[in-house]
Amino acid sequence: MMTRVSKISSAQLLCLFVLSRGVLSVGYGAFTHSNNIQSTAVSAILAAVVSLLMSVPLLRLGRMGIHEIGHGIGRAAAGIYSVYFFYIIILTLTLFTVLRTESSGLKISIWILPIALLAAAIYGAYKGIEGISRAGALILFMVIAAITLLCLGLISNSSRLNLTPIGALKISDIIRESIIMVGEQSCIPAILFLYPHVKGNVKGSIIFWIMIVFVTTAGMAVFISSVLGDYAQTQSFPVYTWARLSSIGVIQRLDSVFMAIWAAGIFIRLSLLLWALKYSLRYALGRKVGRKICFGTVILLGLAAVIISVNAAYNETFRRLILNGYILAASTIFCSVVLPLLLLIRRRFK
Amino acid sequence: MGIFDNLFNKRQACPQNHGNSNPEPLLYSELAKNLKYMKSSFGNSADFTVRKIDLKDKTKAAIITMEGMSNKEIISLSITNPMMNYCFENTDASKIDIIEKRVLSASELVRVIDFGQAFTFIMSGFTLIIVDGCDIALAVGVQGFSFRGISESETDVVQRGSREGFSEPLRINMTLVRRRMKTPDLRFETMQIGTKSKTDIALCYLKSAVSQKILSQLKEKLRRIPLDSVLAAGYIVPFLEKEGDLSLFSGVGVTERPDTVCGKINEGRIAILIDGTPSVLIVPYLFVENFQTLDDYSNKAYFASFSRILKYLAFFVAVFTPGMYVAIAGYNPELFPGGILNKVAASVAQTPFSVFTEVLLIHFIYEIMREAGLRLPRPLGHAVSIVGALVLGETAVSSGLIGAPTLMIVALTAISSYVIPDLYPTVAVLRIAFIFVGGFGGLWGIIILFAAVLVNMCSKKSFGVPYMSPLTPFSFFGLRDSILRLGWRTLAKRKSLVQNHRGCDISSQEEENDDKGE
Amino acid sequence: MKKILAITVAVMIMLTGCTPIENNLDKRLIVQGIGIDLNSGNYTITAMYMDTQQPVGEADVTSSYAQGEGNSISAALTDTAAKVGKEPLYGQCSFILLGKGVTGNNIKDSLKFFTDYYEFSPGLKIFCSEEKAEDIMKSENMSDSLIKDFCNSEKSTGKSLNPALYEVYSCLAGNKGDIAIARLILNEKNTVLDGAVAFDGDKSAATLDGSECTAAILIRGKGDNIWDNFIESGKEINYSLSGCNTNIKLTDNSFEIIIKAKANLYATDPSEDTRSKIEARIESICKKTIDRILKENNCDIFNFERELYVQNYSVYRMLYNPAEYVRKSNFKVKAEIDLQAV
Repeated sequence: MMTRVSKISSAQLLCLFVLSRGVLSVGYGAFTHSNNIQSTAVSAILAAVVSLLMSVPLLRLGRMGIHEIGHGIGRAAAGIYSVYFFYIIILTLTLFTVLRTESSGLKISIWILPIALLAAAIYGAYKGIEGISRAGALILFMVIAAITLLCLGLISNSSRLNLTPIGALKISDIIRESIIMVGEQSCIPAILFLYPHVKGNVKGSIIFWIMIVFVTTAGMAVFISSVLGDYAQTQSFPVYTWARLSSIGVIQRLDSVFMAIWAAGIFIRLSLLLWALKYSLRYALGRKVGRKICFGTVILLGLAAVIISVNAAYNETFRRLILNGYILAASTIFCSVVLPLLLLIRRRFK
Repeated sequence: MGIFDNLFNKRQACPQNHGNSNPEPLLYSELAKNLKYMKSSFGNSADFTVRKIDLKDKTKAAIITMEGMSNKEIISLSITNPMMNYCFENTDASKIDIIEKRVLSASELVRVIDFGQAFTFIMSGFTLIIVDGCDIALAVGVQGFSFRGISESETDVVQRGSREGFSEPLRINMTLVRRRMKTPDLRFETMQIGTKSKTDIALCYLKSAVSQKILSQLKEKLRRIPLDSVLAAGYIVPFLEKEGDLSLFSGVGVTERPDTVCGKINEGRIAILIDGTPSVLIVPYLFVENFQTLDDYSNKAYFASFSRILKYLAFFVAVFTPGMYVAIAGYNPELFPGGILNKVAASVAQTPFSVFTEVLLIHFIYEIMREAGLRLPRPLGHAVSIVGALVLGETAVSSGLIGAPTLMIVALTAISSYVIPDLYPTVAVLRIAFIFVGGFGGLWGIIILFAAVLVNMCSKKSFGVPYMSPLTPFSFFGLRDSILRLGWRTLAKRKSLVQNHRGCDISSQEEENDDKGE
Repeated sequence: MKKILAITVAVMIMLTGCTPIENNLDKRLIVQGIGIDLNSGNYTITAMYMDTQQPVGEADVTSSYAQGEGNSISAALTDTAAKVGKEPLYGQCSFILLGKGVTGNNIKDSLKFFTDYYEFSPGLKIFCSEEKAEDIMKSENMSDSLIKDFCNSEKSTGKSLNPALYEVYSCLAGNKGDIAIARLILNEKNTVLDGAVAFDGDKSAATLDGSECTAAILIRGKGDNIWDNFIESGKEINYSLSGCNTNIKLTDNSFEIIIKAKANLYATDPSEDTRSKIEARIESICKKTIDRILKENNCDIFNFERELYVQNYSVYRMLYNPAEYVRKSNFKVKAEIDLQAV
């Protein structure tokens, strides 16, 4: 009896990646690490080129399949990817906890929501990539609608006088933000495990994804700058501050709605990461290890991630370490470029 | 030949043998032995009737019926009289052959060879003729049991469609469908389910439209149903869904309208007609179909689209409004405009309960009243309305037990949930769940639960067809008859079959073989 | 399994009483506005909050007042809430009034808390007064609806300037230009809106009357509904301006300001003469305002420095003191009005 493999279309892959990458922009990344948000628009162009180049080795490796690499080496590589996905899960949960606390205080216990989010994401991972991608497409539609509404509501607040001339942007800021944006491309390593599950043009989806992400990041950077001006530099989360200005008619504060929809995006991202972690662990631990044990390990790792992230929300130093853009960039580049290249070279000379 | 010929072929054993290790024996040649066996099987059952007669050549025969199931007048005129008056010649032909071909004028005659078939036919309203010396009996279709006439369905109400709804007898229902689809492409395949009830069901489909894979999967699932008795359509629904499916939404549709069934089978779906119930099951069934009614196709396209969008909005209002009200009042009051916030805060100040407790309390009271209204005899229905209006309305608010804004929210929710009656059970449960998560987790909790429910719906399949199709996997072509209803000129251009939806994967294996996530 | 489910449901129902009490709206101090006074380093907060004890069905929202003190804004706010005994809710706060002592001091420090705390909307309006904020807040006619009218006065009359918190702080943080904030005064125990106050950095420097506010709005290019009237040659001219579009051209050491707008006339003959009178009027008030506010009081509330920064960065970055450069520049104002008789 043939085992049926879940398949998603390349369009669904695109939606999944756009959402997973987009949610980071709200609370993390170049927007929060920059001295001038507008420089993010220029950094985005640089980061787009680098990301396109970064995805090439993994696309090649993904087409081959990790199990083609070799038994021992393949398992070791899968183990490294497992560690990477675990780190990204911790980062995502920390980001969620920090931003949730910043936006709505501590009326709800700091533990309940991360645990609820993890439980829902584990359920999503359990349901499989088809369910995650289809739900992701709908949630992406909601996110786009929310952002469009916000933009329409704030367009009258924008002013060209709030913008910074390109000559005033610092090269050091641009380079730093490019590195951080490259680091945020944590979906790229997931290509390796998603490849067998995608039907259609994967390469085209990845190229399209990178273009969409960086064009929208650049556009958002310019628009947020035009609304907030120098005020943005005084804020920890400028995108959230920008959303707080929004109003429709008598409803004055739409940021809560925006943040809630953002949480739905985080859910999809977490589900994808947990699914990738499950997959990579199965390869790392070997096929003899049962699915239930593997999934149980994922649940335990998820709980560990919640504990780490909640503690990071309390501890400033620990938080800075987890949310450090350079560490993220280094690990992403290693998993996206260095490791796949080494594996490809090894296979070629084997 | 009659409808049961397909199933009860002379030389073919009955396919339903669940747990039945002792199949019924074949009929005896001796009449006395046959009667003795039958009497011992039925015991002293008051409705088991035997009429012994002597044929003209002194051969003994018996006419066996169940009291109230057969038409006595037709038995006398078409069976007893002709048999008693026929002059049997001395030939080699068996008496049963002669009776079948020359004596009886009934249009439906089936040969019976074993007691199992005999019992089934007798209890389906047939009259059994046993002749001494023949090991074959004749079952004559002279059903005369009382049944409810064709009337309008009370659950599937439309403004501009037919007023005919399905009735209990299977044959009547089959006729209602056949009258509307006058094509030989329309097929009925009958089966029996339920080891004790032996309930007859018929699979209804269009041969040119249906997917053979879905049909074979369906038949396999129906064959595996291990129930003793099937008394309503809902009994078999869980067996048509995937094992272990915890979804609140059902991938099996129910209707009581023959015109709806015709519309569905035209799209490649299969209808399951069940004897004894007017509810007909439809598979595969998708989420968007909950928002479709026959009126949509009778009205103009713009109004039909408007109604559909209204239904979707009503669904979201019914599910999310109470939970969001609790969440916003408790954790995000800045979302309320100033005037509304003042009213809500004032009402909370004047009532003893928190918003969360109030909303839950009113919902439970409302559900109790709704359930009471369903079960109550009609003469007492007015009393429920009066009590409901007094208890939940003016008195509760003026006594300060419940706040007016909360009551408004619950009333709005209740009205909205009746716009899509098919989804009422799901909406009722989801609503309570969202109230709880809204009370404990605010808007964040609501969105997390919503995301989990969404994944559940998106991963669900109904016979290989994605449940959320054509919303996701998105199909622009599919949108023409889901959220909007385009005009008939557009709909008529290209037919849409359910098995051709994007993302459809009807594997030849059972869905349980799907290696989750891999 | 069923027992566990049943117990879980029962426990959850029993827990319905356990939602935190402070989540009940009536136990929250719903702050509608905050007035701040500063006296010898001590902040006094006068908070206007929603009175939730009024019967349901009453049309108007009534407000009550609470006061608190502290050596910082957050301490004073905490003291205010403590005196009332309720947890504050600042999400509905629509304005901040900077009273006596604050406007003459460092307003940036006073506003910093509101930019950091998540409950305050960055879009809340700022007002200032030379009188005590406490007196203004407790005046006879003070109400939530009155303040909402004041908040919209820039768009509805064009006789005041109503910046939001983020605009004020952006100006203070960016250090390229100055801010003007709407001014409230007490007129026989009633609060009225009286023009605006221009700030030099974060200290008040000059007051603007209604026509000067109009000039500032027109120069900034934001006039959407400006009402004005004047008497010229014994004739009264009543008009309103809408669709204002201002273009500022930079040349060597000079700013050319071209203001284009549509004028709706009321009880006035639409003629070329009327048009030229209106244009002259606009040019005159703009020039006078620039001279008084920018040149005499060193308050660039017209965004000229930002205009230089954005349009001609190459010149801007070479300047040692861009503000001084702007102050010493020549300004030419030209109005182009399109008449529409009503």
